[in-house]
Amino acid sequence: MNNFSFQEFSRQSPKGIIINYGVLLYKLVKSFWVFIPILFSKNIESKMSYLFSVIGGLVLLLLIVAVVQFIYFKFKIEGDQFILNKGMVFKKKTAIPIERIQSVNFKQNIVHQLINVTQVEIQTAGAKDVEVSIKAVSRELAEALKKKLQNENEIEEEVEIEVKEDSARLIYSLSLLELFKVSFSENHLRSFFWILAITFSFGYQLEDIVNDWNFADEMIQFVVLNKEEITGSLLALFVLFVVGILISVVVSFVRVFLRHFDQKVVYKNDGIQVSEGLFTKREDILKIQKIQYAVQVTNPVKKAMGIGTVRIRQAGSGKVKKKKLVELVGVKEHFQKELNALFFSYEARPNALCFRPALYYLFKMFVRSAFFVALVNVVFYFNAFSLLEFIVLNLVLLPLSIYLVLLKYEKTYFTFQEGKLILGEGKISTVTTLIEYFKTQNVLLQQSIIQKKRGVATLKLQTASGVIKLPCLRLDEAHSIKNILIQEMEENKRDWI
Amino acid sequence: MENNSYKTMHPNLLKSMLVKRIGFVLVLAITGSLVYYFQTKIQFSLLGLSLFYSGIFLLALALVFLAKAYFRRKKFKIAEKNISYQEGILYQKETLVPFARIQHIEIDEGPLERFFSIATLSIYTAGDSGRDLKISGLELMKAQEIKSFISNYIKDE
Repeated sequence: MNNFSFQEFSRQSPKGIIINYGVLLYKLVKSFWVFIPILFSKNIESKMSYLFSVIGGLVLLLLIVAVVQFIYFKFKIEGDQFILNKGMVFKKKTAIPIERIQSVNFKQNIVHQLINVTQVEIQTAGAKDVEVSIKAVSRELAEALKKKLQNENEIEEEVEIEVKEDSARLIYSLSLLELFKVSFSENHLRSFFWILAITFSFGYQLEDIVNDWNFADEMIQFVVLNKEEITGSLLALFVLFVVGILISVVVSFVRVFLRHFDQKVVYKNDGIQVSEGLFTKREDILKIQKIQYAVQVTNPVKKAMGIGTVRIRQAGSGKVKKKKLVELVGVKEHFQKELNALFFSYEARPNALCFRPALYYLFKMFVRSAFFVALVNVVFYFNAFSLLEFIVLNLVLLPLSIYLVLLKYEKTYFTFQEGKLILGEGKISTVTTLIEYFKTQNVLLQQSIIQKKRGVATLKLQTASGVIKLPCLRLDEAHSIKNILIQEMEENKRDWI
Repeated sequence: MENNSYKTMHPNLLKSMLVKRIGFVLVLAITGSLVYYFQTKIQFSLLGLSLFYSGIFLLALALVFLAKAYFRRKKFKIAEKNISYQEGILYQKETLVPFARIQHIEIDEGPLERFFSIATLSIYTAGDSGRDLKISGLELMKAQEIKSFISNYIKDE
């Protein structure tokens, strides 16, 4: 490994050209995909050869661009800075002080795996965020670079790395059975809406080309034709719903398997290392002190199976927020406690300072769900449902929405203890957010004009990894929470990153 | 420097807000008139035209009136270790930023602001940038004073 000193400029692996090319082609397709249907329309056949030569020319041009990108992409370490030069026409020089580097992560999608290269992502945080991604290097070079960038970082902080180096130990690795459990207990409704959104946006685009493609359409047609045999449209709706949920379950499974396949969590140095993925393999390192906050998610099914999800958020700029989220799925209860102790030296105690949202919050949610129920009713009205069907529909919808609102109100609380804010929320699932609140960046107290009349206010804690919202507190409580937060932010001298 | 009460912004801010709003209404009225003048398809009666212009006049009045209300709601406060800023009518917001979390500070002067000799002080933290502090309508001197006060505080820490 000592072959890599990084004193001189090095380039990526020549295989990087393939990756560059792939990315460029993907961008090309992505920016012109609206025009793809034109290729299949009838009156263009005469101009086909012309069109293909344009496309061919573009594709060839992109290959040249990929090579040029490769040639001008150079990086080295100079003193205490990581230096990256790229671009021929628009030259860009990036210099990152090594101490500002937050983490060095690896990523391999299926192309990377096929040609045996690794993508290295260097994440930093600060006012002017820099994200550097080296698209294709050999695994050895990647490891060496990571070691170089992170070791130098640690030497500065403390000198006991060697002791820590040995402390790598496996916390858990997700078996296939557990992966099934996780997928089964996901929030399928979320997948359902996800599909709905995709079918709608996609369906419209494809409608002209393939008319009878839409499964839902067939279903509706089937239902319409057999209306007398199926006792009513409500039943049809129910069938559609069941089919939708089934598809959603499949989608949940696919999503979980793609992302979390073979998830391994390892203690390492002063953090944990998470590796996962079926086609795209990711490896993330979470440094404990750099974690902004953690969110535990569980639901009755997960609880029964003894697993939960923990989402860990690291600091990042707004643009790449998603990447900074690491999701540990299938976390067992004892490890849950271990995690809390590890990250926040926290253990739940009953006698902490506790706040609840004002009754206005309940009122507001009731008004909202009343709007929703009314909207559903209007939609159904225009689809000519019978009176009986209306009654059945509302018999289901009304109690359900009231129950959900009450549940949500019941589950919302904000607890302060020893520098930590524990925030509970959720409806069917239970979501618990844990933050060492001195890491908050700024605090926003907000009142709509209605809230002002009711004497309530919403607090928003802006962190380096998104917003935490405390909705509809009584005004005096909101102010006292604000003061607790501000005082801790001012007095606590620990680094928030 | 420190002061425990909220301060309103420089009166010139109100002037520049008014100029902006009147400018907006004028542009709207002129483009409307031009489009109407050069198109041939639709022909309004005299009543329609006067309705259009009185609508624009009402809009201008509302904007001017609202500008005053918005101006009065804009306040800032510099405490020992933090800076806070209030604004808004329908949504009243109060943002608090401890000096210890400030990443950097910028002072901007647009052409209109320079004419009224006021400046905008922007304060950045590592939070999602949209919610950081942006105080417009400070005298340039005052803005610079605040900036160096905070910078010194951060350096001393």
